[in-house]
Amino acid sequence: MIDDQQLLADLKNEKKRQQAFRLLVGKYKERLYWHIRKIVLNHEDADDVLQETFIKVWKNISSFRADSGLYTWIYRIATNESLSFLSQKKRKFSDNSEEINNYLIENLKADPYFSGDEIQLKLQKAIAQLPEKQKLVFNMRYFDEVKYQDMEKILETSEGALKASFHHAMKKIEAFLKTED
Amino acid sequence: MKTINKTNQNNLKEIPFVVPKGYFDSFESRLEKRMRTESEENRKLLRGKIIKFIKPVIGIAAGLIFVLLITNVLFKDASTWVATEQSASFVEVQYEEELLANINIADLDEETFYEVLTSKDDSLVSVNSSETIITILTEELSDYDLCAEIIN
Repeated sequence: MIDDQQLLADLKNEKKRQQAFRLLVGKYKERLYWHIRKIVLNHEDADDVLQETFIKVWKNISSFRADSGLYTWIYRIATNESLSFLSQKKRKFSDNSEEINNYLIENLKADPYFSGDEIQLKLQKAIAQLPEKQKLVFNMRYFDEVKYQDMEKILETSEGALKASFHHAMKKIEAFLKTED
Repeated sequence: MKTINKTNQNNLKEIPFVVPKGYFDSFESRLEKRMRTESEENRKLLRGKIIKFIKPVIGIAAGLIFVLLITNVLFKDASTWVATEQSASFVEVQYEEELLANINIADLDEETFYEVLTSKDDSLVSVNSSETIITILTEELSDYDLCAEIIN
């Protein structure tokens, strides 16, 4: 598997760019897909956002300064695209968070690509109630086990704030699950 | 979480989503197709924007050229007319001056003088001009006769 430094060098080379891009997509598509899917929940939406993410990577690779790692940069783009997507959906519901959350959860129940049981559905419902930032932090920490140091670079938030976010998210989810029982 | 036991907790960590069969295998080709389509659409949009911008510019340029052409033609006609008029009046002035230079006004009465002035008959102009006399006298002679006269 080609390393990120080599990939980056090839991406910035006009002659090797196409080939390098294909390799990049092949390397990270699955990890990015699942990260996006946990945010937007629906498969078709996740597919759309994933494609948008890679298109943005293609358009902006020449301006990538390598301050962070290549994957961290792409992961950040995927996160921002997912949040933008949810914001656009919210506008359709006149910015009513409760309505959009109910819509997402109802969709999830009917989604043929949701394979979770009742408990997992409850957890997804609980996560859906969280504010955006807490939802992100919780998903990245709980499901992806992303280190706080890496999360700092992706979400551009201090480690302390991230830990606090995660703690608050856990409390809210517990409280929600208790009311559901 | 307190309400969830250990077994459930392991379960909870599993991502409860699946993808359609072959989704990841075909992802690259679908992405490339979308990028090609978007690129083509962007090219058409750009072409449209350029045409939209150029149209009025060409229109203004064409208008300016038309105005310049018309002005040029009109100016030329006007200049030509003015020049012709000037030239005509100059010729007329020149004619009158020549006429007056070649006529001994003292020999003419008023009526004759006016007739000479207004007449366009060239034979009345250079009455005293030597050249004119020669021309009149040699009118009836052919070149041969003329030569013969000069030699003899």
